[in-house]
Amino acid sequence: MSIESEAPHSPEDAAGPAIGPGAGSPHHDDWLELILHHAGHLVPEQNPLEQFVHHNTLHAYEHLPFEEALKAASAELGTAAAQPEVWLRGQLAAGRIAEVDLEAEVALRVPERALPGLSVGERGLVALLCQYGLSDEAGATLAWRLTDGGALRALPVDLPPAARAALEAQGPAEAVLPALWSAARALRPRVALTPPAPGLRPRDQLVAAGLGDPDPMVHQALIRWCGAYLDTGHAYWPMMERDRGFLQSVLLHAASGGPDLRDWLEELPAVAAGLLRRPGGAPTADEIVEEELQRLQIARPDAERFIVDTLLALRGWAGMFHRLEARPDLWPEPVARPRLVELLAVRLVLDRLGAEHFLNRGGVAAGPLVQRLARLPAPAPAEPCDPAWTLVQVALLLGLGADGLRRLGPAGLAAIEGVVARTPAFTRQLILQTAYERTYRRRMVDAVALHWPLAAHLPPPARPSAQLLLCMDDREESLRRYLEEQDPQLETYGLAGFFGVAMMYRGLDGAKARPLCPAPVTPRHLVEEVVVDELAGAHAAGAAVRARKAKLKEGAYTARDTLLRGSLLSLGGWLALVPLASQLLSPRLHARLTQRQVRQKTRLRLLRPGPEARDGHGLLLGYSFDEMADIVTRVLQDIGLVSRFARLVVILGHGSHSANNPHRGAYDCGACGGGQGGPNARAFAVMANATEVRQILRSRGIDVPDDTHFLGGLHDTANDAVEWLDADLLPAGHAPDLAALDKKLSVARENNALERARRFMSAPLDLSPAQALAHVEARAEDLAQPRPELGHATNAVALIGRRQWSRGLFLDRRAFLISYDPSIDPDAQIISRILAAAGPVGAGISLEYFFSFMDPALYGCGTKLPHNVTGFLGVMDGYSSDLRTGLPWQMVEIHEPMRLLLIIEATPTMLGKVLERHPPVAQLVVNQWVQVVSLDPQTGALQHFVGGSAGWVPWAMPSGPLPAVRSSVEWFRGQRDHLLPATITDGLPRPGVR
Amino acid sequence: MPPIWIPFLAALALPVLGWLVLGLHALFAFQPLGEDHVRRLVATVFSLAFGAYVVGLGWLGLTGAPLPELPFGALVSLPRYHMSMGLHLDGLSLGLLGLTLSLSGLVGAFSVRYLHREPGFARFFFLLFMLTVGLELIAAGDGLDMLFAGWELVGLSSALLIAFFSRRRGPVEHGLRAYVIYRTVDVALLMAVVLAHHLVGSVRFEDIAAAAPAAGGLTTLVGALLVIGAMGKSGSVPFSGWVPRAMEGPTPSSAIFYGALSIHLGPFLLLRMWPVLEHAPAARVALVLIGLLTAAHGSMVGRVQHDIKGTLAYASVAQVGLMFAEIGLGWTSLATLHLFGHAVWRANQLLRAPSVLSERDELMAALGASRSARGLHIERLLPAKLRRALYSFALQRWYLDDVLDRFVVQPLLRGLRAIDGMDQRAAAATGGPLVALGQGESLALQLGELPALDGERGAAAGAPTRSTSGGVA
Repeated sequence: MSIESEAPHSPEDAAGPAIGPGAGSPHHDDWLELILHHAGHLVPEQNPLEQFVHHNTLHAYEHLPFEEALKAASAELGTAAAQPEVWLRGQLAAGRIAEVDLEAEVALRVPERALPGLSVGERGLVALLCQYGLSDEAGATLAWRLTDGGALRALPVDLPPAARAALEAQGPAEAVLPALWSAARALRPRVALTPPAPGLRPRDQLVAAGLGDPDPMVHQALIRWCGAYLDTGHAYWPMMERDRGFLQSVLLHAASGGPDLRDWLEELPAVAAGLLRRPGGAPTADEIVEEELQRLQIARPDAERFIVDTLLALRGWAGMFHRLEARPDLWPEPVARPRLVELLAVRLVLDRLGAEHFLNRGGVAAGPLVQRLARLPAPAPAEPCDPAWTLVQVALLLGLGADGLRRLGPAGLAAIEGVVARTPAFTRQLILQTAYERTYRRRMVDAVALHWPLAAHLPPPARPSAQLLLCMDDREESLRRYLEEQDPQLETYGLAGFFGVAMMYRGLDGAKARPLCPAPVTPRHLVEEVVVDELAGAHAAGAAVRARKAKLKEGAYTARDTLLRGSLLSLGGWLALVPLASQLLSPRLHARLTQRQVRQKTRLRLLRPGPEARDGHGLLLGYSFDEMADIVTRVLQDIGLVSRFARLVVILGHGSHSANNPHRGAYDCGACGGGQGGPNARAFAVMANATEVRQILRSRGIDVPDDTHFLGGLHDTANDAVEWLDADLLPAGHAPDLAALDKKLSVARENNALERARRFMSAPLDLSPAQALAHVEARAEDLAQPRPELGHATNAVALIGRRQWSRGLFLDRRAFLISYDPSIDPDAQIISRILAAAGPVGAGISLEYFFSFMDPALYGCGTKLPHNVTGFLGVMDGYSSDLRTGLPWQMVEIHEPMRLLLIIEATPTMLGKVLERHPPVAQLVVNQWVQVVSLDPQTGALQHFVGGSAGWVPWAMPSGPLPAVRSSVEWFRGQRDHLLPATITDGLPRPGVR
Repeated sequence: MPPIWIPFLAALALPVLGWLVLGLHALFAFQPLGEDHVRRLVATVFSLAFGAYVVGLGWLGLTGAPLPELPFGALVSLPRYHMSMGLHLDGLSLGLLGLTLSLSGLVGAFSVRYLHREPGFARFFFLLFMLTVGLELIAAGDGLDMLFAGWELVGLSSALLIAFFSRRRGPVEHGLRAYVIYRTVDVALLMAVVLAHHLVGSVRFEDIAAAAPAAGGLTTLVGALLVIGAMGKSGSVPFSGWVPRAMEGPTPSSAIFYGALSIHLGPFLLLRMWPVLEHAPAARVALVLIGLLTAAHGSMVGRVQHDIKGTLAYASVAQVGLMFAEIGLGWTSLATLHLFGHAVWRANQLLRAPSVLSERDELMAALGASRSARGLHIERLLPAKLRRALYSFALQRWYLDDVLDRFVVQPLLRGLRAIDGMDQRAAAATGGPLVALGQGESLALQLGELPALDGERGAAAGAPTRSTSGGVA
């Protein structure tokens, strides 16, 4: 969900511009703009913290097939290309990757060829390489490994048993290994490599020449300016004149700030003054960039790489500049106008001054910068590459000694080296990664195949006891399961958590309206929460008191910025010891004591007063009845709830609250753009209850019985609390229904907490459900808890279809569940709608976790411990660092990095129609960013989309039965790790009598 | 030994035991102690120590009399030179001890959850115990020598916790900077200790206090040295640069050191040595000036910080500057109250630093509108150019660090490199190209690999592509 509010990216957009004049661009002057447009795709695209949404970190590469995208991103961004090989091999050793799956993946990529002189074929050798790895050490590292590292003293720990036996039979290791090494060295000498050309930036050339790295110094200066400029209200003295643009601001401050006492920036005031006082006015950022490029004599074809390299050096801040430039609506108080080109201009000037300083320090003679750089000593020779070491490792894996190696002859050696060249580390990692995904896919789809016949054809209850609409979030999967286990007549549905109500919402205690809809959607309606009419007068009267209290609070808040208030508060500061102690030692009790739940009775102002009533920003106030009916119709059709309404239909939004967590937005509802879904649920319920709306629905064929009441609620996924909204509007006759549901919910919540608590190391495995609920409540209030809940950390699969056939299947809180009824969707309209929304959302969440796990330093934001919230926009690591983007390690550490597996209850023909209609979804599917399995609604036959010439491959029916237990608790009791699916017999739909 | 000392001895000994357990385990077991054990150790040590402290305090309250001294005997006993050690807990010490045990305990409770599954878990608590032991020495020691020993322990643990994330460049660099400042400035403190020994014949606080009125000019000298010694730990101008850099460590360590305890050791030292300062008016004048200058610096630079930890760091520096001024003016009770209140309040704020977003939201919700415009007073008073100059000056933190680097550190490094160059040339003139070969290297010679080593030795950092400052987690 990384797309701007305009149309989603087209593949052409993301492909990047052709660089240089004449190469496809019509205007010579636009070349810089095109380059920056391309660079903008490469820097991290992350919203300010408060509007955190999950998105595909590599969104700019979605037009490429997944594996190519990984490689391209790694080359351009300097990030890891795949999951660490050591970790993947560990998963293989632990059994998480099944050997059959590894062999299958090897068979897909590698042709079966015999290798002369060897008993294993090419596939076998590749499988061995994947399982045991191959290191490419050379030069000094290799010399160490051969001497102190002990590689010639003992056999490696990890060897195939047959090979080990063969080698041990040849003699003691101290004799066999050196002989093998000498033989290999005799066969293959060292190969000198030419060092790669240093990068285009002056800094790269300085580093290659060994003169040091000016980047840390430059960054310290640049980050101060960036932080001050982008600050959204933290600093007591905000930076002045920010509306003139970053470049002008910095130049003005530098020129009139007095002498700069930093030695490398001594000339900066003069340079800045010179730029400002140029005849004809200060140059624009574009002009400065062009000048700097000319000064460094960088030709147009190289300009793109140079600029991208420069921006990527401080990519977090560059990303934030770019994001705020593209989406000024994300600024709470737009004072500044950040532009990426201005950041580039300032950076290039600072880079030049830094480079000059290092050249001076290195004793390079004075002169124009290009000449000085040319005078730098040549870069050190590259480490030679060592084919002999490769041969030794392969020989050990095959159990060959020195003689065996020599007997292979040139043909055999060439064959081995060919195989090794064709399977570099990246290929091996991909094989292991796809095998990892294959194992999960096999187990999951087998489970669906075995479970489907148990439930799919049972007739649903004539009148369900209750129906609940929840978000498709994977955390709700377990709550739904527990409700269904208790009552076979109860039905649950999953859909996007904004429930079709895309609105700007202003709560009673909110100063500013915030959007509650998916990120790409721009809401056009404003909904406000107001106190009920009876209390309105009292509420207004209390406003003055509230304002005074607020002013006091503000005073205390800013006391840290001022001397006098600070001292006064410090004098009484020791009073804070008791609340601090109580919150740290018993968070739950503290929360109960300090939270005064004096909640006003409120209503949503949902009905528009007139046909064209708008507010100051052009938003329509509320909805008309027609619009309301449209929303309700669409939602009910999407989930397939168009008849058989229960007496009580509950709409449950979700949100999360945690203490001391700058990334709390990541735990909230992604479908609500990082907000909480309670107001949406409430709005939908009010809409669906309105008599006028029901009349319109009836005219459209959806007959909601008069005794059906819709009720909205909010599920807090951190402490598993469920709060009813507008419960006072419930008719008296429905009170017993609500009471019955409440009882089931309280049991469900405790079991939910128990299932969540099994993942928390600090919760013992023998907790009772009530104790587990207390544990998660304490976690949500705990200041010291960096993992208040696990968010989407276990997400793996999305099931789209009727709940009927997935009901009673234990999915371990790993599944996004979206309700869809193919029987009312003959021409694939509804499934198109669903996939167009859910596809990118689910893929975004899954891929963000994937990449943050893969490279926590560059794609993720590392550990939370040193995080320092800056400008209310993002976090830095400690004192002054690049803005960290992505997910913190504490959120992803138990994640199983896999591409999302979509199991959709639609035939391949229907899915083909969907792909035709929605190119972005097609791109995700065809380029293998998600895995898709089709489930035939009539027969339950499954087909897996492999793409290419094969297209859809039928799934072989699995043999063994699915394990079956009575209740979920039985299945997970005493286990901490991921669990395989199982049938929960209590949860299966059963035709029954009341 | 009077029995009333028993609870206090228990309170003092327990953190020492905890420290030794973690330290010896790491030394001999080659792998860190498991998280569960560390957690239990920390919880036990701090809860028992604090409990013992409270018991002792209650007992003391009941008896009403001040706590007698507890001498350990003499370390060195010569005719004219006597170095004894012992424990001494008066009101100020009891206050610091209580603050230490309670805040260390609370931060320990915070950290066992916050640092869960973090590599370096045991190391963190080893350093936390080290801090506690150092603080106990400072609080309970009866003389300047024990205070100095504790002072150094606190400094070392502080620097090592700043450099906790030792795989990144920034934390290590800033930890080193903090440590260098501590050690350089502590020379003054050491000189004060030596002078005291020399003049008074003992370093016990009581003896010094008794001798202070008579010594005249030397009292002023000792006072001045103490003031300088206090400046390093408290981040006074011109040494304030290390305080915001110290925020590289994990949040709880920042809270305990630069919020609660370590940063207040400067004022504590001055309060402890008040009998000397009382009779050193020149030192007090300097103290007031330094304090006010530091307060101005901290306040001004703190106002332009865009990150929460930087803001809190400078706020601490400013308040400690005010404490200096209060002590200089003779208002010691005010300074004491200020110290203890500020310690708790700032530790609280630093522990909650990640909540700054939700706090801001609550504030906005309460206000119902945007924050009232701030910084208006300076806008009204000054012309634009001057405003900009002041803002720039504040943003660059008064160039204190840069001036120190440029005019103190760089010349020193140049001198050292010159000496090193002379040494290298002398060695080259007398010795051969190869220094002693280790076993590995001789084997490498046999294998014909050694020539490769020579070529590799001078290779610079290779990767000429992207430079990243994101750092490695």
